[in-house]
Amino acid sequence: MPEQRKSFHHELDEIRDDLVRLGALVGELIPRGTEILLANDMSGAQRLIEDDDILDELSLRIEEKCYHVLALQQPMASDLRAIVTAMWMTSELERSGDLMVNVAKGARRIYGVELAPRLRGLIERMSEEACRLMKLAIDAYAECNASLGVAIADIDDQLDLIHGDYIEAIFETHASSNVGLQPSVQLALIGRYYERIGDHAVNIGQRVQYMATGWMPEHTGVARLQARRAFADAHVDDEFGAA
Amino acid sequence: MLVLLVALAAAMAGSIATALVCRSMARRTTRRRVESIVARCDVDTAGSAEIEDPFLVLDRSVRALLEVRQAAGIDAQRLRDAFDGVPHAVLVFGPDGAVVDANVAATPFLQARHGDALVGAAVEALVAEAAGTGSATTTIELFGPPRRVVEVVAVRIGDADVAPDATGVVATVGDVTDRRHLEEVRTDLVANLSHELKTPVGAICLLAETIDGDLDREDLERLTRRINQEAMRLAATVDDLLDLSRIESIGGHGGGTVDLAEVVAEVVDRLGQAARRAGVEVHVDPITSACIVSGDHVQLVSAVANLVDNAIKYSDAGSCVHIAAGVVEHEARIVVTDEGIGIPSRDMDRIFERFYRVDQARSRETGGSGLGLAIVRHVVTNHDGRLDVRSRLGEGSTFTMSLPTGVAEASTPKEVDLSSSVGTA
Repeated sequence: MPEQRKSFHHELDEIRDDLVRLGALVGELIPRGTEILLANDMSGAQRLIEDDDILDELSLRIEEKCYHVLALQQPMASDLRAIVTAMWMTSELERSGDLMVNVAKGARRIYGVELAPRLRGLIERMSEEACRLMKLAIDAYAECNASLGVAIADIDDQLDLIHGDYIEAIFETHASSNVGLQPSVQLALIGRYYERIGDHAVNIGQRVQYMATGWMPEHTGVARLQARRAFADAHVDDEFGAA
Repeated sequence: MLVLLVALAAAMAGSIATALVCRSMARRTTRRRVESIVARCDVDTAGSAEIEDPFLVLDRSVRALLEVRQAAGIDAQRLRDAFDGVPHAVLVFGPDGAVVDANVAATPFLQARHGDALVGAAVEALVAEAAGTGSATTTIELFGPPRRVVEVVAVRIGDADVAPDATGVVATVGDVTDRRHLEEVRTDLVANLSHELKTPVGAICLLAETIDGDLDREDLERLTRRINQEAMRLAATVDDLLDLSRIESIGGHGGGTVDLAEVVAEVVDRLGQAARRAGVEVHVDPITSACIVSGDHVQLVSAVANLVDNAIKYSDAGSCVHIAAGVVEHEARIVVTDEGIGIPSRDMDRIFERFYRVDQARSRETGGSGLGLAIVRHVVTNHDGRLDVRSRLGEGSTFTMSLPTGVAEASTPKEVDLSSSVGTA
């Protein structure tokens, strides 16, 4: 039995290490994709799109390991939450990698468009914030730090603010006819990709909170709904009682 | 009675003899065992084993063994310290592929996160490869931040025929960012230098050929004006190159006393016309403290002029360039802040290289030789100072030149608050 547990915990450690590695790959893709976008680097864009396959392979491997542990070890309590969290996180990280692929494809679509320095600066800032959030989410997971995990939602506000400024800057450059409608839409989408990476980091933070405490922010909503239903039921009973 | 006594005496003698024989046998056995232990100890006890008490020999052997162990401990500690002192990360893997030892520099790669986790993964893959092939190498480019290039080398160690348990793979991880950077600087310098010198020469040749044809006066004037512009551009590049070469060869400053307020005033006076032409306002914050440094007036004027010139060139019309000077913690600082186009973060480390251009396409619009910031850096180095830059694309840049106040004790200048405008690299 102890040998079996040792193997089980070894498998859990492996899943955690692989997830940290997947997070590191996503963390690298963010500044890399931004550099490609700002430098109009078409061969870099192609390489990045191809390198996303590495992320896909690793995320599939993690998922398979999770299924293996679920099927053969039947984990319980915190171990079960760790496996479920790993499965959720794999999907969040894999999706974040796809968003950077979208940035690289966006760079192809706006090839040749000269971006105003202000837009370039805001893209750099969104990229830095998205990268910071993703690294914090991975730190929270590796340390099983629920407080840090839940704080990421507030830290993400900064990225949302920069994204707002960025959209305004796109309107301004479009209005001054420096950038056409089509590239402007592409640029807005690119901004959205960074903003979505921030949201994925927030989701990871919430999943870490669930892994550590068993509680999710949605639980508050569920409790509220149950209270409303209980109140409605009681009200109906009163009406019938009065009748 | 007598028979009884004789029998008793015989029995006693027999017992004593037996006891003596047993004791002698026990002593021989003990001696043999002690000698065997001493032999196993593999220490030098020559000349003593035969004649002395075996326990004395054993005692001496144990002492000798302890001395050997202590010496081995010192050797092991020295090796450990040397292992930890190696700046490269060194990881030793056992025959099963698990880490058996790692030095201090390798700590970040164990249980690593972010970029280091990727280096750790590369090390694992290389170790598996080197276990089969004997050695393996790879280079990993990490976008960070900070951006870095890491080289991983794995080599198989030990002989499976001699000691199978002592076999394994040793892997080293070294940061080769600076080496890679130097290689880039070297290759780019030649390309950029030939570009900067050949472009105006090519233009002059082409314009001169055109003039050779049949042209009206208006075209002729336009072409000669262009030739003149290109010649001026070439002359400016050569002048800057000579300036840079002179500043480099001096390798220090004259040791004169320079008032930075005078330097700033001279620069503003010199560049006032260029600023007005560009529609940029140059604003000098009132200099309230004595900013006296030990240095070379001409070099410092050249450095500050380059910073202000860049600030004007890369600012839009209607914006403002701020110049502030003051003393902070026994350092005289000149801070030049603009609201211009800013510098991309990926170029921040390279802007002080000769002829390096953030945007080659813009270089002809803005003029200049591409040597300005290289000159600034050398002047600051000659004055034992520091140059910090903080910039954001589309928002502007802040260059801070910090110089030691060579006469700080004599004049004890009043410290001013420049913290709001001081940037960091």
